[in-house]
Amino acid sequence: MRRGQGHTRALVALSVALATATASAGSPSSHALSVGVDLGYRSVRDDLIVPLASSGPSLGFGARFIGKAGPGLLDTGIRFEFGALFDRYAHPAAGVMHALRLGYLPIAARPTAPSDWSLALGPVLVWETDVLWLRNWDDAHAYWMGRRYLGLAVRSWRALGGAWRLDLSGEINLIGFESRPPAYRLQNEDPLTQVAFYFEGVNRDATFGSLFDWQALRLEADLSRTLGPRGRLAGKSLGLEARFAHTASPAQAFVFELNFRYAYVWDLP
Amino acid sequence: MKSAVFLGIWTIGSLLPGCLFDEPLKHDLGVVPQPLDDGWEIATPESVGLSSDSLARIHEVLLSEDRFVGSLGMLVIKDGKLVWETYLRSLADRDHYHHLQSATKSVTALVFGIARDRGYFPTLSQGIVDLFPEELVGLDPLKGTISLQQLLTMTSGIAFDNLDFDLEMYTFHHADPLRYILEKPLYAAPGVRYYYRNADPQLISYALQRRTGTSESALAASWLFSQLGISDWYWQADSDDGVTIAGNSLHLKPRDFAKIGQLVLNQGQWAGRTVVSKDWVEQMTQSQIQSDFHDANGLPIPYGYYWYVLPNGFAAWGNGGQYLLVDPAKQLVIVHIALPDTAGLDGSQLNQFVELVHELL
Repeated sequence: MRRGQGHTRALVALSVALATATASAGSPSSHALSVGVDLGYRSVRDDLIVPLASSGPSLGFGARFIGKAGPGLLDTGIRFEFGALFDRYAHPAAGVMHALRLGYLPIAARPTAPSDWSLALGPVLVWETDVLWLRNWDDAHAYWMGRRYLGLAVRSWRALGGAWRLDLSGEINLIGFESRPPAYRLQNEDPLTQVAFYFEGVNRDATFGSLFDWQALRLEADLSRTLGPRGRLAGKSLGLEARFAHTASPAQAFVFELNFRYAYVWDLP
Repeated sequence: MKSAVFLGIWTIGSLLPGCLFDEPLKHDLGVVPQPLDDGWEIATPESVGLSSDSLARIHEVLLSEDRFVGSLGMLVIKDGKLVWETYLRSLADRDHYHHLQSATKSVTALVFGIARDRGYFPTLSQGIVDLFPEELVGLDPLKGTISLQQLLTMTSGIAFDNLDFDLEMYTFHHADPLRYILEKPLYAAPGVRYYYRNADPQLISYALQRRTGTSESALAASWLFSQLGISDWYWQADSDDGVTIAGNSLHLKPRDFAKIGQLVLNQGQWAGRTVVSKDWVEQMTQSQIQSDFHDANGLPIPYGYYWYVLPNGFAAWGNGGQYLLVDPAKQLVIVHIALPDTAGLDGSQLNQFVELVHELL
């Protein structure tokens, strides 16, 4: 087995384990776990190093749990993405994103007819980090946007007839902490070979801010189809996600990506 | 069919973000130096006999989005006067210090020279066993014979690749960083072969601290920077033992970097005072050995004590395109600063920069 395959399998297993752990922590009347793979296209620019976009395909894995809890939905998930990016000079770059989110969305509107939309909205806690490494422009440091914030999430869904269902969801930051590299990099090297750096180092020296200081926006549409009785495998879904992040401190930086997600959904007891 | 739709949507989606961002890498922010209270006299190029047309051609290349893409700025000093100064990305680069990368080694040579002038190192043939007797206990006795001269010419023979050095010394922690360096194997007997390594100047930094009881950066502050009116600088120290990192990590403002060149051009004199001896400047900037870097003709560039020797003078050179060219015959100092940690970008080789400014030399 190649090392990459091992890492991928380990990551998927970790995602499932974490989401399942989250699921078993509550006691909703019904809940579901989805595990999916993302194929996307990402563009990242960080003017701290160079005002050029690095763009390219990305591959991600994620797990998400949605369950009924009291008058609302518990919506939590974990994601990891890796992008192989290139700037206009064809210089390669690597973009990594990892995210954990935990939201509770009280149901605001319930359908009175099959064609009605349901609506839930509420707070979400997000820990999300975008890390960019541009080998040709700076082979000693990473460039990151680390965010830990309280945001607002909204989710709406309706049946489309038959076994099909459409879910629309969105999320935006309100207040929280953002970590960015310093304007001038005095340290000789970031410890790029140490895994802990991607979780701790990219969250150091965080500053408090709000939607007016930096923005993290996510929109998603999921088309899912319920399967017939096949044990706990309840359905499959195809999703389209657009994600945008921006900050202006200490220099402009952007992330924009589109992801197509294919996921399996399991009913959990 | 489903696959085709999926692929189509993905392709359209791909084009959208791919076209969103890109700003110009460089901007024309002018070439006329502004008077600052930093000791530099300002003059026009014509007043010192420089061609504005030649400088304009250089500026055009620097502003190109395809050449010298990592460039941040360039300065020209002639006859001791700052006559041309340009920044490509932001004027703020003039007022903030920048990582000189391996041009730091050239400053290390100056600090060492001043220490030698002051009697701390009577002879360059001294073996390091006299300096680090305890750290060498139990190691190959040949290592003890490594001389200061060999450290200054990258011929110690210590096999410590630069990529490994930066990673291991700055990322990992060591109880005794000096011993860690000395424990590395020898790739050749001392003095036999030039091998460009940060380990050699780092041992010079240890020698300076051991002999003087003061870190190299503190020595530089006292003996060098304060003499030249350089007050805003940064020089990183090893996080384990506080010893100055001598092979890179010095940060200077561009105009202050130019002062280093002017001092060497003046053979160690500054404002009527001797900062470093003429004897040392001559030794430091004359060929001691052939480096493993090559000029435009593919010939090895001669190397002095951490200075490169050019047909028209000598140069300090740091990764990414940090250049300090000194042409004594023309009384010329040229500084170029660039993004410091780039790899493989145009303009990051000394011969490329010499070619760019050849009309001035």
